[in-house]
Amino acid sequence: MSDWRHEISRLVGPAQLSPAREASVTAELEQHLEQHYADLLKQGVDEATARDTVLSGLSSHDLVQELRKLPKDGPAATTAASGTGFWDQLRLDLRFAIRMLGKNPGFTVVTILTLALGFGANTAIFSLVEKVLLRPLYPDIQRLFVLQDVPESARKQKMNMNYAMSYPIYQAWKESKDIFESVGALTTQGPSLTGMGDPERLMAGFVSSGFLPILGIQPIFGRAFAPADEPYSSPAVVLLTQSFWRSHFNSDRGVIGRKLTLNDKPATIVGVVPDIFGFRNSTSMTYDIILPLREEPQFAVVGFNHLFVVGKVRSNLSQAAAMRAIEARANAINEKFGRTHQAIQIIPLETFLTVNARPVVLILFGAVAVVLLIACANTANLILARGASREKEIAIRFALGARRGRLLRQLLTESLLISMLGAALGLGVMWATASVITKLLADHLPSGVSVHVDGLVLAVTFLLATVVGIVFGILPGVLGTGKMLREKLNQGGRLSIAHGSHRLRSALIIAEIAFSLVLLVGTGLLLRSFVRLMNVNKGFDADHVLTLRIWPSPTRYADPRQYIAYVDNILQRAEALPGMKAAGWASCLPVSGTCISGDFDIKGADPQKMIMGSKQLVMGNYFQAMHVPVLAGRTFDAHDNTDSAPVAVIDQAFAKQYFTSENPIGQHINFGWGGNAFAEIVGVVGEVKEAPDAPANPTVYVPLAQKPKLVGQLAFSLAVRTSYDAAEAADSLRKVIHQIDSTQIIEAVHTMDDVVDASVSSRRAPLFLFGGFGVIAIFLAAIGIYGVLSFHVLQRREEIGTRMALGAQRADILRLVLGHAARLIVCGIVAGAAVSLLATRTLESLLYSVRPNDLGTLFSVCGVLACVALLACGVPLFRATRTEPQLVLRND
Amino acid sequence: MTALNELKKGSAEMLVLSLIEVRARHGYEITKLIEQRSAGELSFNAASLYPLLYRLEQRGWIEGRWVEKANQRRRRYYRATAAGKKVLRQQRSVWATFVASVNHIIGADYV
Repeated sequence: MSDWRHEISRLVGPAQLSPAREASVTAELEQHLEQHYADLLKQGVDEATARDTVLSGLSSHDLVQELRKLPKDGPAATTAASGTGFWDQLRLDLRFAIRMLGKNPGFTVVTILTLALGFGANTAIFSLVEKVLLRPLYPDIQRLFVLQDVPESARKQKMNMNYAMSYPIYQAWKESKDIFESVGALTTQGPSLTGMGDPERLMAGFVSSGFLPILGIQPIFGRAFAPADEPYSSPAVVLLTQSFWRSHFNSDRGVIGRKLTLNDKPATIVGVVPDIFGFRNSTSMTYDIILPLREEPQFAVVGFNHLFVVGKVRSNLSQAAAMRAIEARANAINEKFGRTHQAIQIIPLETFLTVNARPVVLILFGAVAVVLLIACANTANLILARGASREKEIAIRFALGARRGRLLRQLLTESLLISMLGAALGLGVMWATASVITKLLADHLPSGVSVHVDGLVLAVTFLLATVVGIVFGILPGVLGTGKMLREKLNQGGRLSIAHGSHRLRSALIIAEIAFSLVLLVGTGLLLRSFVRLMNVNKGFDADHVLTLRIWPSPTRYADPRQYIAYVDNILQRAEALPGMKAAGWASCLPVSGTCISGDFDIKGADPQKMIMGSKQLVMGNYFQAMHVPVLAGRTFDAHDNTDSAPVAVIDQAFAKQYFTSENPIGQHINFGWGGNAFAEIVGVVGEVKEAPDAPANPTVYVPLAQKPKLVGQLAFSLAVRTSYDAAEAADSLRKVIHQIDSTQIIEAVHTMDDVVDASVSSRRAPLFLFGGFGVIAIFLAAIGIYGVLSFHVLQRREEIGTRMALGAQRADILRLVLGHAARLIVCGIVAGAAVSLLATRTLESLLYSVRPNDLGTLFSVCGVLACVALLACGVPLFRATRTEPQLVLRND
Repeated sequence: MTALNELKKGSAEMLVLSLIEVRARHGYEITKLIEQRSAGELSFNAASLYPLLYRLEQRGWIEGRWVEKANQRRRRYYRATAAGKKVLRQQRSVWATFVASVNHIIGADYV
């Protein structure tokens, strides 16, 4: 047989086709010539003539020219499964990739899940980073400033608190037209809505006409408020927020002109605005309706601080110039009102909105970045391990003439497929958990910010997935193809792995352990803080206490005597229920963060001295119900009413701070709210915390019955102590109240345990998320350790077999393998501990009475991690000790 | 023969398309069929057939596939695509008109 191939190559060569195409063309022509030659021989032609005839059919210079005209890498390049063009190639690669991944479902599932966890966590937190730190929350936000009226003393103590402003001071700022383009104010109340099914309590924002325009909020339809809506005598008007409009009016555009009955008075709907979120403590709260800010004369007084004020500075003022001008004006305003110890706190709105969120979001972002790093390290490990077991396949393909580029492309397709699937699943995970994460973080995030996917988040995830896919596609390619592999093949295709890749895998495991440790130490610190917080003495006993809140209608109970009789009636009937031990009203509950602070006046005290504290109105056996101890004197009883002399009870914190040398009992204090009379201090009670993580605020209690002027302006919480499960008392209490007034709205029915629980929710969120990430991290690290050690055992099978054949005991083998694992684990833990000591400092703001470098936490976490890591070694270790020397050695 | 081959060049595409219109054939089979059906008057050598096939394939008129059959070597089979069949129909009608016209001019005696 003639060597047609040689002749063909000589002719086709100059056409410079791609190797694959050239191979295909050569094969086709070779067959043609061979058959032609065979046919000629069959016809009796002699070999030499046949050969010449056959070759003459080939020797046309047309061939090269014609072939040159064709695409170099055209349709003839591939085999039966071939198609044409880039997309067909891609389809082919994808099909092959899917087949390869399907062949190894364990690897595929673990890798995709690993990446999904990494991507999901990152996408979720990135979507928050984007909204909190990268995007302006309101238009022109750099010109918006929050103005707060702060007692000098509070400012000096650098108390990081938010303060409100009183109406007259707000008015003074509003007139500062040389600084501000516009100043707006907002306050929140909860009017009742009746006449639309069951009566309900709404969240109402009372805004000045300038407030919404400052934030760039326009009505969706209808009109906004005008200054003409503000006077007290103007007709009552109301704006609906979009959600409320949707839920209560079924998105009916004909609502304009209809009326809502609020606090038993009609108000005309004039427009619908987008949803508006709260600005103070509970930023996750949204308003139902917006009403014009109309100040009743008795509340338009200096000292009644209840307005949230935002100013938009003139566009010609720089931020620094504006701050200076505001400071100067603050002094002028204080002088005007004769105030000596007040100050204005100016906070850029953006800072105000993100100050809580920024550290939490950044810390979480750090945490998820670590999770992603671990996920990547794990993926790299898995891919390297697989690369090792595919060495033979790759080497064979390489030896058969596959080009390096082609092989890399195939590997890239596989790894990109994995990373894209991981990213897609990650987005799915995020989508599924978005609302949970948003809810968890609600206390930390600015209004209206939630975890959700948008274009940028999608783009970043896609980019990340592409980078991860490319890196891990090339990694085994770089370590795997080329000369090295041909050498491998020469070694008989035995399973073995390059030293470089082995070292890399060990390094990856060490990194995984170290990173997991950092996250777990963070979790440990947060957990320890949380436990300390839960166990801190809050000054009351939450067990067996049920609470609920009512806000008796100010119109229905306009007469204070009627009002007091009403709430007293509820109290008497509640206490008469079977199993009730004590019941009492209070204007704010412990650890609920809703207490109102203000200043007091003590008879005979230095008038320059600032006396600040929390103001509480109570009625009935509130102290008994809460188990607040009476330390001296007495508490209130039924005789403390408007007809008797005013009395007050202070708490221990107040006594310690303001009555250092003298006995507070018998002293006189001006409560300064709802009447300016001095009340005699008749008792001292234990201090009760308003927030579990803050020191107790000095508190003054006065009897509700002695403050008729405040009646109707406040919501009151009922606290009852039961002898049975507190939650079961809810129904009977509701019944009691509705028997007295069937229209009464009953809110916030919670056991006191739930109230305590809610008070630590802002601490729980970072803990849960960190804990979640920590668990993912340790899980991934365990998989990594398991994978590496399994591989290590497999690799050393022969050595182990030989050792056992030579008399090594199981214990020796165990020591051998465990030694390797232990080295990795110890290195990882040492590195992780070092990094932790540095990294956990960033957690400081989230910790409570635990130092970031708490060694107890560090050591226990190291212990836990070491145990998990050793557990992950279990199966490979077991396999190693079960090695049958005969089998292994026979195989060779 | 030479004159015929000149004519062949103009009609080569049609010849190939018509041979693989209903069933797939490999390159050698195509040359054999052309030779047989033209009683040896027309012949293609490898050097001219394959570039033609690749060109047609590139235009999407024919489709080549490597096919493995039992006890045979892998061979590349070509088949006319839908587009190729459409072209073939057009070329047939043009050819018929052309032949009729030429006959009309030069007289049918020569046929």
